[in-house]
Amino acid sequence: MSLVELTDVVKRYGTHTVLNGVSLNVERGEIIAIIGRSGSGKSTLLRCVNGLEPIQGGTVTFDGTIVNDPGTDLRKLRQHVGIVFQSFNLFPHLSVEKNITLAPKVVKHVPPAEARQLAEAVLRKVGLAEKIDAYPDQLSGGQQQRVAIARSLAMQPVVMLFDEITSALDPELVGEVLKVLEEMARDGMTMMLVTHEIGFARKVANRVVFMHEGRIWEEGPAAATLARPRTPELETFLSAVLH
Amino acid sequence: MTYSFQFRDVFAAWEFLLDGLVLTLELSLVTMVAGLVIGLAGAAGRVYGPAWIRRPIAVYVETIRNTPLIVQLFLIFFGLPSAGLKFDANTAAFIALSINLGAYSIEIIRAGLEAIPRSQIEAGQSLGLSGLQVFRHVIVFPALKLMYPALASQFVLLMLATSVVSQISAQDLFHMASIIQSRTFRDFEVYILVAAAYLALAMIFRLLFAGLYQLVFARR
Ligand SMILES: Nc1ncnc2c1ncn2[C@@H]1O[C@H](COP(=O)(O)OP(=O)(O)OP(=O)(O)O)[C@@H](O)[C@H]1O
Ligand SMILES: [Mg+2]
Repeated sequence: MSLVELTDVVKRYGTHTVLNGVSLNVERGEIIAIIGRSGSGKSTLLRCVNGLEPIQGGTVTFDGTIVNDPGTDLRKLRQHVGIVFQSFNLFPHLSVEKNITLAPKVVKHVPPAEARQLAEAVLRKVGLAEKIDAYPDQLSGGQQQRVAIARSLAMQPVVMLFDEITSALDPELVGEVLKVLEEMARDGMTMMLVTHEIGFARKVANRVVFMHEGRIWEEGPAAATLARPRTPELETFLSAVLH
Repeated sequence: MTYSFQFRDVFAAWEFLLDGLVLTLELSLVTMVAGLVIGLAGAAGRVYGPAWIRRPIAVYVETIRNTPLIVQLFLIFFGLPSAGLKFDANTAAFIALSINLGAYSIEIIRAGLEAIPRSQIEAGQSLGLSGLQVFRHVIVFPALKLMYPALASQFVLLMLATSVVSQISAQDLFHMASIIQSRTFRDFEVYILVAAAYLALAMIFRLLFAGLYQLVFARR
């Protein structure tokens, strides 16, 4: 059994079908890069994995639990599935420490002193130990995104979902965030990342999934798939983003 | 136009005015607390509740905002006793004012809640927080901060509007003024003094609210 299993997933907004029968298995420790044109359903796919989007057909399972079963306790599930968004979504009224410790405290009942240590530890991982008392609006975009990653890590997730987490950043800030991802990859974290950084996908991903019109159009080992696309759609897409 | 002001008799009755002032203050403060509680709970129900909660709240808010406060007050003080519910003047005043301020607060806080981006809620949910935890830790503070000026204004308006309770003989500042007026016949002086008292109260409330903002919302 794979850690994450999507089977014939169908997602519609009204009559508009956004995911049209998507099947994908993700093994423990695997790193999947999801690429594709804007509107092809990449974000939607990620958001189905942690149950942010209800689906209209098929099944999504995480570690054997059916995510789209109405009886599933999504809160419990989400403690194991971290997600980081393009726009950081830090809580503006809370300090970096409080952003990170909120969920451990209220969801897992970690005592305050221990929670602070936890915040220090995850901030060290993303290279921001000195920013523990800062507020989000005092940080650069790259720093905010690293705090968002630290906030997710503090829940000790089993899988991390990244939705274009460098797309809102100035080019010179992209590197610092990708570096954090590389370290997590080295630590063996299971990751599904939507990205436009093809070079990065080639470097860290085990597998590449190319989404097109709500389907997985093409998938395979990262290097080979990106070097020798089998479909004209992927070829067109790659030449568009690489040039 | 040669009116000669004589405040002496009016000032002599200062204890009446002070009593009235105290009741006006009490009514205002207690109503503000009640209004905030009703506003928060009502706005949460109005925005996040199911239809059977949302609709009655909407009806409540619109009914109150589109009828005069004095009519609401009379309904509670003079109307409800016919249905067997009898309150003394102060209690009736407190109930009417709270129901009134609650409705306006719901409308203001609702706007604040709706201004919080969906992405903030999703960030909270994704961390495993329950709906209530998201509301409490992620939404309420920024929403109240956003609507604080509007809410504070509404609260000051409420303080001024408490003067209608004199109409059911609650012994507030305005009621006491009428009593002094009927004893001294110094109408001009009495109402100048009362106006000054309301003005001072309003200023004090605005200062307090500004201080509270600094204390609670303006970190650093
Ligand atoms: N809440 C929504 N209501 C209606 N349609 C939606 C909604 N969210 C997404 N869509 C539609 O679903 C389709 C897929 O959206 P999705 O965000 O998954 O695409 P994406 O591949 O992530 O694109 P991008 O690269 O621009 O982020 C789009 O056509 C979008 O317009
Ligand atoms: Mg997207």
